[in-house]
Amino acid sequence: MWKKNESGSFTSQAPTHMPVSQPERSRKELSTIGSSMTITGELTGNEDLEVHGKVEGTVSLKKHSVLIGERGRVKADICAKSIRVGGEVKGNLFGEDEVIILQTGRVEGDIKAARVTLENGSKFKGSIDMEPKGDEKERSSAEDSAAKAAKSGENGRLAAQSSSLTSRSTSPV
Amino acid sequence: MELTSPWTAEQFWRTSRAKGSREYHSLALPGLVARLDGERKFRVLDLGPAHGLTVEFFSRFSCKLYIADLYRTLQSYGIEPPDDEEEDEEGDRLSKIFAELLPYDPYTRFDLVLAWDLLNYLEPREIEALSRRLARSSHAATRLFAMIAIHQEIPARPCGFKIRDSETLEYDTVTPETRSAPRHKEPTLRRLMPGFEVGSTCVLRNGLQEYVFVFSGLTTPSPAG
Repeated sequence: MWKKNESGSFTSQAPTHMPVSQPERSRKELSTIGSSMTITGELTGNEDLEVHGKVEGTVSLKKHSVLIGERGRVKADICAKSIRVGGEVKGNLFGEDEVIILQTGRVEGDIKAARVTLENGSKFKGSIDMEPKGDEKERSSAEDSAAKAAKSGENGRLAAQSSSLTSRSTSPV
Repeated sequence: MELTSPWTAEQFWRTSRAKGSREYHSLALPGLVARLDGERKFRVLDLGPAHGLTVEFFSRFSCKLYIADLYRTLQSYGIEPPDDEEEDEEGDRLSKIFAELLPYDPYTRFDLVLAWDLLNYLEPREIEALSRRLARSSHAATRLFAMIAIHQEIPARPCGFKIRDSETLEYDTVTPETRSAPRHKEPTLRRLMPGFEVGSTCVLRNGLQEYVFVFSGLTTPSPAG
């Protein structure tokens, strides 16, 4: 499934020796790096990837999704359409659509993606670069305003109750 | 989710020991968040652990969020109190440790630093070293948000604070054990954090005092004579 090309990088190819029926052909292709596998180098390809073993180097699947399974250990920058991490990654993640760190995921590195989700229990250290799309920003702002309005009665009461025994301000903040 | 109100200091920590997240109405947060609404990209440093809720909250702003998970990583260094003679050496060592934990390039300047309740869990010399490191990554308008416990007891480890919305924080504790609170006073904090002035502060009924520090720059000591 993994073939080393002339430049020394690994390129994924769908197996050709197996007869593929029409419905199967239309299904999304997927490559898997098993838990006993270790790959060092540059991974590129035209299908989705699941990593359950070890990868060191770079992973570039710009139009596809990458899943790092719970047992997956990756020391690499990953560039993909969608990235989900349930294992361990030391490296930067570039997700065109989204990056999700699952409950069991541990990531040390920088993330750049349109949407980033950290599930409860996940561990992350690094930076997250977020640039909300215009409509998303407006929607969030509207949601916040709506939530505030809905809570205004409750908050007013809370503010009065939980606010200070002493309160002061030495400069505008 | 349980809304704990009205709070007393005793209630706050007692309910903190129970499982589950609770909400906390912050008086400082709205002002800090309002500063993030603008055209340019903001940089926010969260010294606490990563939480999906906080990431989700900041995703609506044009910002880069840095997550340091400082307390957990600091624990792995196993810092022991120094002997008197070793204090200078220890100061250098701490500076190196914080430089490793907050490895930002010299051009990175944060607009907002979220320290949460971390200062309650650091020794004074650690607060000094942290402050020196943060000063390096601050600009004239940098805000630092911290909570100082005024109650005698606090959870044995920092609470996990997350931002639900621009007025509400959620918190949960990771341990039912408690320890005594250092109860840092404002003059002590001023001494330990040169360059960071107290912009505003308020004591809440829950036993926490919210501080917003404003970085005003470090003054270089004038040459002797």
